Amino acid sequence: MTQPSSGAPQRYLGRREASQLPDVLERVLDKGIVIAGDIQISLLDIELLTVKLRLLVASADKAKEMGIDWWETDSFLHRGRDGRSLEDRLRRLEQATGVESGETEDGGEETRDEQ
Amino acid sequence: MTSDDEAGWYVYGVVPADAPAGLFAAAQGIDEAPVELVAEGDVAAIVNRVPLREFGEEPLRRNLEVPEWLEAKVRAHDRVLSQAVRQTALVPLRFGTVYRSEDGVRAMLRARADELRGGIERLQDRLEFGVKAFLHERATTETAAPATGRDYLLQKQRERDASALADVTVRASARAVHERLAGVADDARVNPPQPPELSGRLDPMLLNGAYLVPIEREPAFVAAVDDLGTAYAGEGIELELTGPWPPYNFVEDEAVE
Repeated sequence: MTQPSSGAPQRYLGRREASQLPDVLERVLDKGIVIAGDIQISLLDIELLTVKLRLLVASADKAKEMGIDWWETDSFLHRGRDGRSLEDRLRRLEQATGVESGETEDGGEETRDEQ
Repeated sequence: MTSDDEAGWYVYGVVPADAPAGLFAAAQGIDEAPVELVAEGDVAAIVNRVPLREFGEEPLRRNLEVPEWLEAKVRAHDRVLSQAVRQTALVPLRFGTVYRSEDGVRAMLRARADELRGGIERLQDRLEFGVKAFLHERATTETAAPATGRDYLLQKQRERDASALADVTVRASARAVHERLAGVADDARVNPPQPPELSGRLDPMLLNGAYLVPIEREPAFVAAVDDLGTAYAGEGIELELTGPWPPYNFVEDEAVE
């Protein structure tokens, strides 16, 4: 039912439109050189924010379903920062928000109330 | 704690101190504030003054949770850097780097001078492009209606096999697209695919790549994207090209101390 694409890639050269907000967020919040400013809280909050963003991104079950995971080897989630791995923080955040993910099951060292 | 009109210095990124004068003269920064350069030695910070009633620690924490606020500021950050991207080498900073004084900005430039110079040198005359690959719904091949139950089961089996094979094929194709583009680029990154709620498209994203392309190879890179788009259209793969972006994806080395 879907028409096969004509083969001409969509180009958004030099344009920044509404549809590109995810690309802008991904870059401005998650990339760029990290330098501690005088307003210290911002970096911490932004890292948390990126973790939230990643929760969204990590929910790409569709991609997983299809076995599209070759990008995982160099993904954000596998990179430690500030001596604390983001996976740890993600796990804490997930526990705090009650979001379940496959990775939480063996995170044994945190005490959890089991029913 | 902070008076209402107290200002902070928001830093977008860093350029060489000898970047063309007036580079940001027309730029509209955060809250439409004028964008200035604060030079120290041979590097200069791209800054604008922001009110601490918005960017102080407490207000910033609150504002980050307000999507409209965040979108406006994040877009301003990208807008300022993007407009200079063809005119000068620049090192983008992550969102939310704020100093309490111009002296604070200068101290940072002095402390990180080597690293910033290194980044500027490495990124000189290079542009970042984004290429995403999406998978359209695959066209199913016409098959005759099965005559018997056995035919039906065989047909189902063939369809499953074909579908599994197609998945392997599109994965390999997305990888081939990335490798071909990485070959034209100086450097490349693969980011996790965005889910539909982020990408705004129902088609699964197979590739979310970023490529650092020397300015003289820009036409070759764009041509490569066109060629690949044509080559893989038959598999239902559609490419999307964005840019040029400030080299957000290629400053990681500088961030590691």
